[in-house]
Amino acid sequence: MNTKVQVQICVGTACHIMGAADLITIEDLLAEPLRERVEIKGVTCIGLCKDEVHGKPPFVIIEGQMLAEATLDKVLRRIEMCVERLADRR
Amino acid sequence: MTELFVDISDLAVKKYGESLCGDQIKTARTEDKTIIVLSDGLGSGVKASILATLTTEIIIRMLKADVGLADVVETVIGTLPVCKRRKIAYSTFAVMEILHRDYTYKIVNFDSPPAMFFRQGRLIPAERRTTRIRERDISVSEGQLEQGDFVCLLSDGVLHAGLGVKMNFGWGWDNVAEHVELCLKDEPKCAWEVTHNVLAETHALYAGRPGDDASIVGVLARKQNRLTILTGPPLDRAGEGAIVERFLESKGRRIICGGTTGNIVAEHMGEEVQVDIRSMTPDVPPIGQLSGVDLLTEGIITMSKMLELLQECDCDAAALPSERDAAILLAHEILTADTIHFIVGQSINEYYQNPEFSKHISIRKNLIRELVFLLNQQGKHVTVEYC
Repeated sequence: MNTKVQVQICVGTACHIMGAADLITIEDLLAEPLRERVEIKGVTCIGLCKDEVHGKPPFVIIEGQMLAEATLDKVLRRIEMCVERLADRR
Repeated sequence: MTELFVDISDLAVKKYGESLCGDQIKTARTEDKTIIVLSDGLGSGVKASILATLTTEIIIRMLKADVGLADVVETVIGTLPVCKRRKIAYSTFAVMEILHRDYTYKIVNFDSPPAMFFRQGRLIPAERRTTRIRERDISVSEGQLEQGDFVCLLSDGVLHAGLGVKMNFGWGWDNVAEHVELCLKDEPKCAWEVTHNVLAETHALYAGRPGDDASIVGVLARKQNRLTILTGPPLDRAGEGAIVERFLESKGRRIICGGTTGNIVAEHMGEEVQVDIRSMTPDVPPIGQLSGVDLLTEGIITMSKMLELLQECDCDAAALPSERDAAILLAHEILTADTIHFIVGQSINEYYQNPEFSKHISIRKNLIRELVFLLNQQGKHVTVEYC
């Protein structure tokens, strides 16, 4: 089992234009103890923008859960939640 | 036989104080051959320029129409006016014709300085025969190009560089040849490196004030650099596999421009695209990695940025920014390639029509068209297939 919170930032065309470039700076914003417990990856277009039911880009997948219209603030809060949840499980 | 690319660079400087160059150079590539013509109009300025232009145009057009070289030369010599006072033709010329099937070449000189031929960086004394056409002596040399060969056509303005300024008799054919040998020692990647160097020296010997129009054509026979670019998902999903396979089997370097396109290829290979997020900039999405693919980038934004870069640097790779983002790497790849094949998928992501986007990113076709136009102007052989 992976002990780190998995964060996948879509870097496709639509997500990039709608702010994915800002989102990749998230690692720098994480406090030191948190940073070690998160793995951040870029992924090519995950295709969620093609269907409006998923909401608007940029999209980020955190622990398998999709986050639409992702902002640094939203991603940060979701990561903190997931880290807490992982800690509780242990 | 190694597949060669005939890399041509031509440069000219005009006589100091003149508004037009009396030397004219024209090159043309057809399916079967490459043709180069350098013509030097008698004197300088407007009259020289018009005569040299006429000469190059007539020769190029006739050779493109597959008229034999001897007939072309006869027509041109018969057409050129002769200076009544000096009894010499109003323009001289050198023609080089290279056949693509076996890289055999023929060089014809009419009153122009003999062409220089270099093999393995050394000047090779060319075997020239003289034939008479319309009572004028024409020098002809023939041979077959090998990888690394360099041929130089010049106007007498280069040979006379320095005359009365830094040298009593000018630079001279032998000294120019020696200088070219020096340039070839560094094994230049392109013909421009040599022509640029020789013409800079010419300019310097004239102390920045050329006493004559001076021009040079460099022909470097080098390995062909091929590139295939796959961009955009195909319209027909059922045909994807065949397209991906053809792409992965293509000769030379392979580039994918498009995240979804990258995913299609990765899926076909049973792999996943690895994204290097550190290569991302606010303007350009990051680079991806996939085995068998030399560069993987996002599509429209990166290609638009790359086109902007090519226009800004005037297609000079040395003038590209030194950073390493996807658009700059893509520009380098494109400028290094001689033959580029685009496989353009026409499937459109509806979301790209979104008015929220500051620029219209849906028109992949228009972008490719603009890019192809620019690359053709640079003498690259570009083909496009839509799928």
